[in-house]
Amino acid sequence: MTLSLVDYELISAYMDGQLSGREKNRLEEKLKTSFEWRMALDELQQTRAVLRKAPMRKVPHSFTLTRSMVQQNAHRSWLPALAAFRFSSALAVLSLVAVFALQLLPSAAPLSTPPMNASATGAETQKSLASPESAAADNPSGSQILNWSPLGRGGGGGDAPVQPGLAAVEAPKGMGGGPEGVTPFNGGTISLPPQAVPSLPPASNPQPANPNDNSAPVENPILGVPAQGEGGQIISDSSYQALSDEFVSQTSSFWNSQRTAQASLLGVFVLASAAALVTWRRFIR
Amino acid sequence: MDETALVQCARSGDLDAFNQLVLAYQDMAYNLSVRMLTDSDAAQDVTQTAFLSAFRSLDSFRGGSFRAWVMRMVTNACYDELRRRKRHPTTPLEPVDDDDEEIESPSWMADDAATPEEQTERHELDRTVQRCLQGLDEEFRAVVIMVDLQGLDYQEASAALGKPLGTIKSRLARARFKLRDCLHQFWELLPS
Repeated sequence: MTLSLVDYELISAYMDGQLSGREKNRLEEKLKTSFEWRMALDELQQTRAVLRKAPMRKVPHSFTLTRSMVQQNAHRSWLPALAAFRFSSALAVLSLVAVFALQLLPSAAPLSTPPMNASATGAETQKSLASPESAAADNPSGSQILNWSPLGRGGGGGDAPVQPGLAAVEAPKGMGGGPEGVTPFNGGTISLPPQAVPSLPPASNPQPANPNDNSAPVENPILGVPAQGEGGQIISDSSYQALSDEFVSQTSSFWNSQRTAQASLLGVFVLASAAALVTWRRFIR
Repeated sequence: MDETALVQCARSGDLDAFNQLVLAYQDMAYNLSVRMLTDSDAAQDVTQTAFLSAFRSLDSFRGGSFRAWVMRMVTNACYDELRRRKRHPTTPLEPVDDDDEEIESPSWMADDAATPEEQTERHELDRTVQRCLQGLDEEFRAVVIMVDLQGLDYQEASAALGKPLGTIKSRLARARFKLRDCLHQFWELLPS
């Protein structure tokens, strides 16, 4: 039978008189009957005896304390607190300076103007759709204007109903925009990629809209001129809305990054100030 | 002046009273350090540091065995030194023998009454005990040094190490079990 470590613990405690009465009696019964238990007890007793025989070393000098040792030690204990205080206060000042520096940064000009432009452009859109007279004033020569964007009145916007007989061409979102690939009108030539050209019904012959004509609605109204009875309506503001949304998201993201940086630095300032206060109190104690 | 009065005076800032306590316990404190650390110079630094810490933190002594409280200071300082050594291992400047112990003259063991043979025997025993103790983990080493080398009882060892009584019993038994084979060669030297 091999003794376990738990058995050796019992024997070790028995050697030092650390067993209860009951445990001691049980162990002594085992020692009477088991040679292995007696051997283990004998080995641990001899080990303890050798350890107790190990010589005590003489102290090389006295370890009594002097006044200077005590004061020097007290002074040395200041240094970490002082260093921590210096670091914390410097960090607090720097973060506060950074917060104010961010506040003084000029805001980005292009991103700050679109709201006004969007509203101004929206006003212009409404103005252009407001009355046929204004459209006519804009085009006093009455020259023929092709309708490039059959998906919406006045171009751009995908929500307007598709003109019957015309191929659907997706117009880009923009103010009065037409199909992609359209170069700005230069008064004479407009070039389109072949696939972008909507196919017109063979019988259709675009005619200038007569604002005073109250007959059946014109199939292909003049760009920018509302049909009879639809003056003043906002036919499609999705392009304006899209531009506005884009600006808002860009503007909000720009401001968020600055504000976030400022908020972070303010947080650092608060934490560093608290740490400086704590270390100061420990220092003066 | 008894120990309780000395402790009271020391707590009120009386350095002389504290030094009386230092003189009473410095042998035990130094031997605990040197057995834990092996290196004599490191043991001196640790012992001095421990007594300085003890003087500064006398307010934390709540009664009981002052000896155990001092041993706790020394043990903690030894643990700090051992951790520092693990972070920054060093090469001894003094020559070392095969057991990595510094070769030094055993002047610390000078005993005019002992014969040269007895001195050699004691020196050999000391080296063997030290080598065997170094083979133990720090926690086991501290327990067996306090109880078997310095004569503290289980309660004092428990207070000094900040461990429950059951832990002290268990660690001591395991330390003795491990030292059994290492120290076997010296059994025959013991008086029957």
